[in-house]
Amino acid sequence: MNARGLFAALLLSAALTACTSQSQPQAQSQAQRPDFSGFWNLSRNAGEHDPALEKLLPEGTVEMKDTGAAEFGPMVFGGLELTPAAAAAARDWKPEIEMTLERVCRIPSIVYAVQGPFPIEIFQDTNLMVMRLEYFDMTRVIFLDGRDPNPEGMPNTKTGYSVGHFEGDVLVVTTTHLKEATITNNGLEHSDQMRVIERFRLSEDGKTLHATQEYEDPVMLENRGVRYINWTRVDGDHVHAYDCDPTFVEEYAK
Amino acid sequence: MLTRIKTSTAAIALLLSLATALPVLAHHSFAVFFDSEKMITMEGVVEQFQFRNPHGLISFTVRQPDGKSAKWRAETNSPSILERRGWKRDSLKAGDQIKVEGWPARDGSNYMRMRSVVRADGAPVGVPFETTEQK
Repeated sequence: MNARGLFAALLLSAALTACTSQSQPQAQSQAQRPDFSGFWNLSRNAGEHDPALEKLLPEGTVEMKDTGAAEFGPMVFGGLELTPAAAAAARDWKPEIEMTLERVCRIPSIVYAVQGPFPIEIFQDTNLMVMRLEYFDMTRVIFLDGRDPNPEGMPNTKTGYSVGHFEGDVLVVTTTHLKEATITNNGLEHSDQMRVIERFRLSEDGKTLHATQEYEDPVMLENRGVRYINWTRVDGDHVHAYDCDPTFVEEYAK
Repeated sequence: MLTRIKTSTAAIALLLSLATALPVLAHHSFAVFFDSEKMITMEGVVEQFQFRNPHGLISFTVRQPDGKSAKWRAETNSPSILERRGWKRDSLKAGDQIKVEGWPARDGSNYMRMRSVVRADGAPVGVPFETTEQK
């Protein structure tokens, strides 16, 4: 693109942004918003508390403390209280079933995938944020344009339907329409009624992305859980293909 | 060739000290499948190295103290994670002598989760997890 073309594109972009702002007077201007764009690796202190986000959590929320590499053993759920249906399913769960051709590449939902130890990559624009997860090649779309948070006819998927808004320097994302999947990778599943609230905040130096991910599921959980998640910015890297190969389990079975 | 299996307080202490630097787990539950309170080291000869998600797999033969051979398999992290630590699809070849450190399967089978691999001359394969926070 030559200089004249670039100038015209910038002018058009500015005009579109201005139109959007006029139609949504409550929206924070793009210039004021933090930009989360970039490649983020899970931090060494992946589950450390960010005090600014901690004070935003509803009272009574239990911290699960299994962010990143940490995982719970059988029938341990980090303070989550299970409904009778969830507890019965967890008791019946056998780890061997996860090592079958049918299930070994079963895609988790964002409830497990985001806190997992794989990196993420964010592309942020005025009205939209795209988050690519290396884990299982997942891509999240987060609408920032103030659209209906509960549209009719939206299918349930592993990434769900996400809308976000800024509260100061914190991006608050609410996700619904999730498809059933694991919460803790040890037999506890969430239902399609799971509602996830995430808060994202950049550190002052922009090198760390802090987040909390809260879970409400009236079908499977009696209380509300949260994971703290921290990522470190890495320049020049991108998410790689995951391309899960289920034949892995054939080796395990030998 | 010697086979050495260690389960020691020192190893457990080391594991705990590296709690935030544990290899990338996920997929099937580490805590459910492997014993995080034990660490073993196995020496053997590589038969096959598979570099694929959700986990890579090192198949190797171990000569036991009684002279018999036993087949072992060590499950690795996701290849994309290993690539960022210097591993490649051909990092291990059939015939390579290696020493694999990791966590044993809870079911007592000859299956383990890899933490690190060194060659016969002591050179590490890739960058060990405890020495580099990022790439």
